[in-house]
This record gives sequence, structure tokens and C-alpha cells, in this order.
Amino acid sequence: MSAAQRPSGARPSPTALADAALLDASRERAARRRAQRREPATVGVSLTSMIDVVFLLLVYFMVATRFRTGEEVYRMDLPERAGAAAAVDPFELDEEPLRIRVSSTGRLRPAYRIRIDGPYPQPDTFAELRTWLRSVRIGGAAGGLFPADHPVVVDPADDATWQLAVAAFDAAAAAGYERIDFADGGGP
Amino acid sequence: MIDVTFLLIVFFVLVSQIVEREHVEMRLPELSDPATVPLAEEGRVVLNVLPGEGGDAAGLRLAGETFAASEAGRDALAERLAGMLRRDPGLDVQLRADRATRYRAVAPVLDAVRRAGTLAGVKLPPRLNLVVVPGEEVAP
Repeated sequence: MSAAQRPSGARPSPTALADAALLDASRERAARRRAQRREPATVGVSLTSMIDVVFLLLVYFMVATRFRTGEEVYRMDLPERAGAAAAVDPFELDEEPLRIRVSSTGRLRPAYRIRIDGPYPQPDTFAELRTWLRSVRIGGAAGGLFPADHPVVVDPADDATWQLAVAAFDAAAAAGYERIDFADGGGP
Repeated sequence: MIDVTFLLIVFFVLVSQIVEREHVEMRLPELSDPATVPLAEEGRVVLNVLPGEGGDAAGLRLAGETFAASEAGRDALAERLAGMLRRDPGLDVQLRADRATRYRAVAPVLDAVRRAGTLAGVKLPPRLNLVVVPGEEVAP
């Protein structure tokens, strides 16, 4: 009911009409606001996109987990020695083993030192060691001092890192030797 | 459907935890063009030399069980490994040691593995494999 309508028949003045119109407009706006507040707010985010993101994360972690176990993929096989009792050193029975000593220098370059027991040229790097070992193996490039089953002993110094010990082992294994062992001993 | 999703997430989190227990976090030696073969998944046991301060071993872990890096610990390790070898003489022992560990800390472990073979009474020494990662050349 408009404020301008009155039960009496009297005609309202122009100012009263304008006031009434303003009042009507404000009342209508208030009513609209109330109506809006009474309605519950709609959920703007759709659930389907959230599930897609979750699946993406899931797939990412699946792939990431596989990568981690795949990294350490290689092993180096210590060849099986023809069953010796612990007391008897098998190397003493047949031949003098080729002894490769590795040690850490304290410095950055060179970080390691390789010494081969015997009148042989001393290599500076593991690559040189591998090349030389391959060349003196019977069936290798030149010479032919040692057969492939000649015993090779890797003798790292006590303070040599495991990396150097394994690198020396690898040099001998890559050169084609089949009987490679670490030296017995090394203090507790 | 969301429940299934969360179940899958929990499953993969747990699986990665089990993997961590067997493979201790460490930096394996890195070799360029190594003479290696891929790791076997079956019929093997993983022996971790836990990296400690100054290149020493902080302990040894064999198949989820931890031993001290001492004489007594290594004896216990040899006993445990001997038990495993009795059950499976062709068992693969995979040795994982950090690249910075000094050889003096790893050599007794190699001895303990050999002793385990003697204790178990197997004819051949246990198959010991050294786990490495392929990578860059060691700088001289």
C-alpha cells in the first residue's frame, strides 16, 4: 500500500507525493535486501574440478614413488670363490694376487691415489687403471700378463672412502677380471 | 568416490614408507659406466651400513633389524644372516653403504658377512653385491 494512498479522499500535496515516492522506493529496496538475505548462499565451487585436482596429485605421487626405487638399479657381483675355509687364504694356493691399493689424500685435487703393487706403471685415475688392467689381461688389447681369472685384491687404506673402494673394484670388474676381492683385515 | 580416492592416497603413502624402511637414505657411490647388472628383487636381503659422523658407521640394518656398529653388533648380524643363509643358501646380500663412509667402517661388515657364511655351513661364500648408482666419473 503506497504511502501516498490514504483512505481519506483528500488529495495529497506535490511535496507530500514526492516524499511518499522516496519512502516507497526505500521500503522496496529494504524488502529486496531482506529477501536476498533469507535465501541461502549458493556453493560457487563445483566439486568436479576438486576431484580432478586430487586425481592429478595422486598420479604425480605414484610416478614420484616409482622414480625413487628405480634409482639404485645396479649392483656389482662379487664372484663366488671356490669354497675356501676361512683359515686358508685361497690366493696363497695358486698365484700372487694383483694388489691394487687406493687411498684418500687429504686434498681436493687429487682426491685419491692408486698404487699397484709391482713393477707396473702407476695410474692417476680410475679410468687409467681400468685401461691398464684391460690391456694386461690375456685377451685384452696388448701384452697379456694375467688371465681373466687371476686373483685381484683391492686394498683400500683405512681412511679411503667407500666410493674409492667401489670405484677400484669396478675398474677391475670392467676390465674383465672374474676373481676380485677386498683385502682381509681393516681394523675394528 | 572421494573415499576411494583418499584410500588410494593413504595406500601410496604407506607403500613409500615401507620402501624407506628397507632402503636407508644415503648417497651411494656413483660410478660412470659401471660393470653392473640390474638389482634382483626376489631372493635377496638388503644390508645397510648407516652413515654416521666423520665417515664412520652409525649402525647396521639388515632386513629391518638394526645392529650396533661394534664387535658385538657385527656378531649378532652374522648370526642373523647365518639363519637366513641356512634357509636359502643362494641368498643375495646387497650391501648399501654411503659413498663417504671410510673403508675401516665397511671392512668389518664384509668380514661379518663371510663369517655368516661359515656359521651357516654353506659351501660357497655368500653372494655379496655392492649397490651403486651409475653417474659421473670420480674426479681424481
